[in-house]
Amino acid sequence: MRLSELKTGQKAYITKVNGSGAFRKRILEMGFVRGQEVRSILNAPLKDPIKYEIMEYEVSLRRSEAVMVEISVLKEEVKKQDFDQEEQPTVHECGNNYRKKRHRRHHHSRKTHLRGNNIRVALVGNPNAGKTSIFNLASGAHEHVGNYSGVTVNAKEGYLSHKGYSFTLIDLPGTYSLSAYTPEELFVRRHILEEKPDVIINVVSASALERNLYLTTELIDLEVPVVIALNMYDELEQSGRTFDHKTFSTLTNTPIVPTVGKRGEGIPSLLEKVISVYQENRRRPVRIPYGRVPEKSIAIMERELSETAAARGAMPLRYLSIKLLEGDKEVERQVRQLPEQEKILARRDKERAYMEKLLREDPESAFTNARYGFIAGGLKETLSEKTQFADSTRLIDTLVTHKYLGFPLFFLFLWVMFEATFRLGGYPMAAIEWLVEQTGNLVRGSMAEGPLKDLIVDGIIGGVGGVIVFLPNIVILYLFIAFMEDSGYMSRAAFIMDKVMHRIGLHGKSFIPLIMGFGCNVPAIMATRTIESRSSRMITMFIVPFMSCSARLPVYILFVSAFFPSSGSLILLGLYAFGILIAALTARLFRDTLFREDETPFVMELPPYRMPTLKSVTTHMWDRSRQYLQKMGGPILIGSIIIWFLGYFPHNQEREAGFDVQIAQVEMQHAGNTTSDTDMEEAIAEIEHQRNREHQVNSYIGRIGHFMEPVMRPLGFDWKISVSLLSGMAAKEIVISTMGVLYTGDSDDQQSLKERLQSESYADGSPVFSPLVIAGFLLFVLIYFPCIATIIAIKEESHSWRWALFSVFYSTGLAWLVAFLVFQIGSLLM
Amino acid sequence: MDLQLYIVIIIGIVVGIILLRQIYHFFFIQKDHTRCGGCNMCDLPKKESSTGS
Repeated sequence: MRLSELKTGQKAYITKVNGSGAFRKRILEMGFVRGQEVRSILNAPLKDPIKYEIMEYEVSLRRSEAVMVEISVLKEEVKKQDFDQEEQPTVHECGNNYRKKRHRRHHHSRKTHLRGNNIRVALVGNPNAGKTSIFNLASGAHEHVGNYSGVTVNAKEGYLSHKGYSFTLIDLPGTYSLSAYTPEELFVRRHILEEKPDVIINVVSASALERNLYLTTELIDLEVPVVIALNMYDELEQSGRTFDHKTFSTLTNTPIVPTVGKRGEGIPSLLEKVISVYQENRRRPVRIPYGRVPEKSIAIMERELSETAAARGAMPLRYLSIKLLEGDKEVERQVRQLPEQEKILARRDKERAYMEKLLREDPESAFTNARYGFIAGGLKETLSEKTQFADSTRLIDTLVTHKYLGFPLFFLFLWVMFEATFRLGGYPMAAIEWLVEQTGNLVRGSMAEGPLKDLIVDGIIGGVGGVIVFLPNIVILYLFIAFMEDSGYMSRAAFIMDKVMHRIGLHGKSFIPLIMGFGCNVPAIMATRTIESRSSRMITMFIVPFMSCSARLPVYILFVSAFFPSSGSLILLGLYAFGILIAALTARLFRDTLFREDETPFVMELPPYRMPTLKSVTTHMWDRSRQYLQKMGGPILIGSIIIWFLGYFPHNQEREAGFDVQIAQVEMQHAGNTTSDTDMEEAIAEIEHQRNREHQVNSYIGRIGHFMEPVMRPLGFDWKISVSLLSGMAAKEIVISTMGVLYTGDSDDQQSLKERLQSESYADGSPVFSPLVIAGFLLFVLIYFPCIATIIAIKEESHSWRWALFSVFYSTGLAWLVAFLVFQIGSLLM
Repeated sequence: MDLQLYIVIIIGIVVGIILLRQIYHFFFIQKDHTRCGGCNMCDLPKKESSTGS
């Protein structure tokens, strides 16, 4: 029987895992091993993927992947198969099985790196185990945390002092093992082996102990000094369980400290334990017993490798032997560089064949089973059964992944998010707008006429002030994104969208970077690192810029509130939905043309729901607000000043003198009593307006705009819109600050940018911003690449300028085409 | 010279220097690839065929 055939609510026992490569390795490591109990929990709204419970955590598998797993509903059948095979050793067998043949050289080489009172500590653990929470609490950092796998994609360093020791904490990306199948796994392994941290804190989630300890067994094999942080210990206690961590610590000879990362409990004890491990000169690590047959092969490989001096690198020989026998590609690549590579690999192949023959399973499974056997043995005596069953996660999941309610609830959430961003954000926005206007009027009234006054009023207040008013909207948007990330709903959104994503050639995991893209495209592009397949990662990277980031939100809100205030949130939702549609079409197109490689399987952990803490949400919002304000003082200020300079210079004395003459003539006519006071004021205002327009047209920015106009005119855009879009290439907020500088308005008082845009008209009196122009403009802003930082992120992640430039040309070309179609077809119909 | 114009020119020079510095950093300063550490694993094609074990 196959796992895909298991009905919802039924449980069964795994008998065999078929398939190969990354998928097989990943699900083996995640606990899909022989004899393990698995339960089908529910199907996604479109019947695929399916949520399973295994080892007390929940995981999503596609139907096509569940077919690969053979199961039996009868436990006896699995036991019988076990009996046929070699008896798996447990932790008890190794309780006193300390290494007889100790690798003193390896241990010594690590200790030579001791740096007095400075301890380098690496945080290693499964995704979503709470490494970053511990990192933040210990070091006082504000790194992003969330309740989904793969929040940390970069190594982060933090510093702290405790009991006279200074610590350098390194927060590493989450990984289920140290295999070489994903960039994270390889990166973490390389960091441990090459950077040689003095102590490793293995952060283990107490709510899914068995699976989390798998990585611990790999660290034990690596013979590195480890302290286990038993994180989320409160969740274990709440489930009515007890864990005799002291006994388990003795059995594995690895110190264990219970912690609650979100509240900071246990952190001081953890640091003290790190100091004591650091001070220890001789640790006696246990050896994971893999059973008679694998141990024999390991011993043979160790002997083979020990004859090669070059093989004595950073890795212990035993670990190197195990990885070679497992078929680890990276280790194999290293061995291929050795002079005796042929001999070693021939021996390895022979031993693999020997193991397969005797064990009737491939070495990869044999080692994984043995590791899980070791863990199960240890936990059997130390971990009690659950007595309290919290059904809140099940209950919420029944609703949010419901066949009919799943999608409507997801879109309702998005609608509420935009409604709150637009409506609620409108009140503080109006207050800031008033403040900006008053500041402008104050400067206008108190400074003498001159270029500096123009720079401050039109350049700085007009530019930066036009953007700063949207701060409340950004804060509200991030409040919702933080809630989504911290609660665990992010993974559910990916879960229900998998089938849809599958149709466009991607998988649900790609949906997480896409949602993150609503906040900022740069971390979203970095988050694509968690996607195993290169082709899927590349496609996701290209479609992330179509997700409307928070920098584009001010542009939307400005135009929507100025021209369509009554249906603001619906238009916002429509724009975001259009971005998703463009992303989907692009993904399909790229999958069919540029990246034809088969997509990777969808194996994703679904974390339990957790109530976001006020602290984490406010920290998240504060960090984003700070970043936004820093942007005001940095690129937006610089951009506004540059645009003002380009718009202010050059000054044509002759043209200015011409207008002065015209004004003088009007005043003379008034003096001769041929015109009334009102007529004179109107005539002068008209001349000033004309002077302003002539000046802008002949300024440097005007010349750039007119140079671009032939390309942008078919879209209905005037030169000022064109220049705003050009300057917006640096960052989308600069579109607004440029408009704030260019659309100066005719009033003597400081007007809001909204009012200035509403009053902007051509010489014939027709409005510059007609509904069609606004639609085309908003779509152009949505589709063309968001900012230079995003392009750099694409370059960094794709390791190629070619792809980064491709993204620029593709998105800009597409933006032009869509705006062109909207304007031209709309003009024909209206 | 007009004082306001004088100040504006100084601001222009400062902004110009900042801009040139940014351009220089963008094109000529190498980024630290700490995350990948020079690893090229993600560039390796992952063609896997499904076979039973």
